[in-house]
Amino acid sequence: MSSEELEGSYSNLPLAAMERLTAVLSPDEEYAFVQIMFSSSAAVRSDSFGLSRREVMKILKLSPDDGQGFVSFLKRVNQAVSRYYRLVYDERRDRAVVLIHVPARQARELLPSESLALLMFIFYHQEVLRNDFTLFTQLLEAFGHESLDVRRKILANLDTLIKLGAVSRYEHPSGEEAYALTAIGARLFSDSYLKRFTEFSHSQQLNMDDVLKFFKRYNLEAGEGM
Amino acid sequence: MEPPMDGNLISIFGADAPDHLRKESLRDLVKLAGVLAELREHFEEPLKVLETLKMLNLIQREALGLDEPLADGDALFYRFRNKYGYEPGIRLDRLLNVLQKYNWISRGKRRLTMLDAGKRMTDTLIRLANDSLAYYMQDDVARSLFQARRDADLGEAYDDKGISGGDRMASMIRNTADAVDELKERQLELLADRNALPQIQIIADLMQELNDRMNERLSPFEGVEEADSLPPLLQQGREIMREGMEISLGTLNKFLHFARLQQTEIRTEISPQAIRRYIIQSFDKATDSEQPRGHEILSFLEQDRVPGERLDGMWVPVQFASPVSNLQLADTVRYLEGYVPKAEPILERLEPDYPKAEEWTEDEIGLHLARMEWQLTKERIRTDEVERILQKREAVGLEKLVLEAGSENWSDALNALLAVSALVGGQQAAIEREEGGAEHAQAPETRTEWQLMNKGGEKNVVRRTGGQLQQSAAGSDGAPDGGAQSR
Repeated sequence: MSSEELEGSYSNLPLAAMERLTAVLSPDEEYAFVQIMFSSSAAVRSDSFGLSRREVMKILKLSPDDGQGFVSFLKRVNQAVSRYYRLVYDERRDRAVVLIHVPARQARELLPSESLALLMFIFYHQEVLRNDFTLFTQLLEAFGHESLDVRRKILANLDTLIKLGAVSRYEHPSGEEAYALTAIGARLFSDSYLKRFTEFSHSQQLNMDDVLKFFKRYNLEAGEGM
Repeated sequence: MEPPMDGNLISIFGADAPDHLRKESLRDLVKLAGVLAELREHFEEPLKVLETLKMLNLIQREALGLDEPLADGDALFYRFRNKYGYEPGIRLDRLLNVLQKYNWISRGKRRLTMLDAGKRMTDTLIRLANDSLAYYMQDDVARSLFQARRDADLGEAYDDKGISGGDRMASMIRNTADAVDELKERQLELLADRNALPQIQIIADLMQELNDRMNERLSPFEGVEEADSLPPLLQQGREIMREGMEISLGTLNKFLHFARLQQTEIRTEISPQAIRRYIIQSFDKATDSEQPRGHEILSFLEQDRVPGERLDGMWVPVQFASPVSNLQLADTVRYLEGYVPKAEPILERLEPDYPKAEEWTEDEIGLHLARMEWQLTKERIRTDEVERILQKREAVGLEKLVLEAGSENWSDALNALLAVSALVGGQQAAIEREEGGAEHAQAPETRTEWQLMNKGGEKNVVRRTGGQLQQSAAGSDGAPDGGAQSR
């Protein structure tokens, strides 16, 4: 079947795309890319994923005020590999992370449906409504009437999300349980997923542009939204 | 399952079946087994089985009056060829002989007829084959459902007519449960397949039909007994039916919902309320709703209606595991391959057997130590030859001894002299000055490379002392028991 072949060739290409990196990146920049990639992995660093802008700049040997150079680095990496990898810099959280594209079929096995719903709630709450964190009580309130023993269920699913690096515990001054979306969590849902999700919620077709605008995904810097 | 309303359900397991009739009916099965056994080569290969069944069918059609009478095997052969257009590959005469032997058919001079037993058995065989065919024609989810429906059919055909077909109800419930499990497992796949609608429809219809039939079959039971004392089996059946309906209808609804979505107009404003409501809804496990949950959305993405959507599933950080060396892997694989679990109880550890300590007096210890020392000496210096000579003669002149034990070469003589001194040191021999003993002291006439230097050396005689020690030392290479015996 041709679609099978297509999928097969996609899975071979990332390496070829990596080959092209040397053409657009200097050795320092390559090194920085690999460092970011490694630090983005949950298995390597369990608490803070990715590198801060300052750390990246240091590896790149850029002067701290050379914002142009940093953006150019992001742009060039993404131009080379963006079909398969994406180098994301999240300004709000000051984190640069590398994400990999997971096709829908594999993505199904990544997270349980409940985790997806939970993450979507946090995502909406923080990305769209621009909150800095989500309180556990808010989650409890939102999902509480839907199912039994919901507290345990929410905690278990939050744990899954934390392990993946999509959500992190937030130190709330009042000591309340709170969670913040990470740079990974903010980009976890693909554009197509968001579009379909929103369409289902409205039982109507929508424009991709409108959806992205709604989720504040428009106008992403460094060509990362391509 | 107990007979439903009245107690007289005919069952081979029932206590009220007349004994001779039961035997008679079981003999039918014996006949069937006999035919199958004797026609083994016909029933070993699917194609031969088919030919055999075709042949049986031809005879049966004649018996039912559908076809012209058959005269004999040849007529059967030609009828087969006429009907199917090719010559049968099986041995017809053998088939007919066996069938005749087990009274399935009788062969007269003019006529070949099928007997009652043959009709019933042929019927059963062909129905069995057809059942299997119908079963395999379904896809895997529908198979269990089909089987469940078949159970309902059989239940109606047999149990309701007073003949037990076995535990149809239980079988039906079990098959439905299997189908529901399968459906749950495959639901995401079905949603991901753009062309799965007919299939989902079939499943939903089957489920619906089954639900009706099940209700029909279950309702008499509920009339008799109170609702809360329903047998667990029936309760389970109701439960499974409910679940099956929910999941099949849910799948169908979601699929249709998604398909309908493609027909709607494109809207521009997005309502936060709707989003929030939907997020909360998608957390819930309700299976019958029209709204898909997280995984189901991913399945819909797999349909790839917008090109590239299928690839655009999610973005996650790459997961790196720390590298594992292939040596470790190989070790692990070897361990796993060679792993044998301990099935036997673990044996108690055996205490080593310690020999009893021996007691020695001080003298004995001295003796043993001396012997050990001597053995050590012997390790380094070859004393055997000298000892041998001394063994034969009580006393030998030193020069003679050295010559005999060694040779005319001075290196050998030196070795022999060393041996003598070792013997003397080990208190096995002594060097004495013997004045009179001419025969001992006689210097050899042989020309030698060497000469003893000390004055009057020719008068020195080596004498054996410490007989028992020497014996043991000479006769053994240090075995301790020799010493113990000599004590």
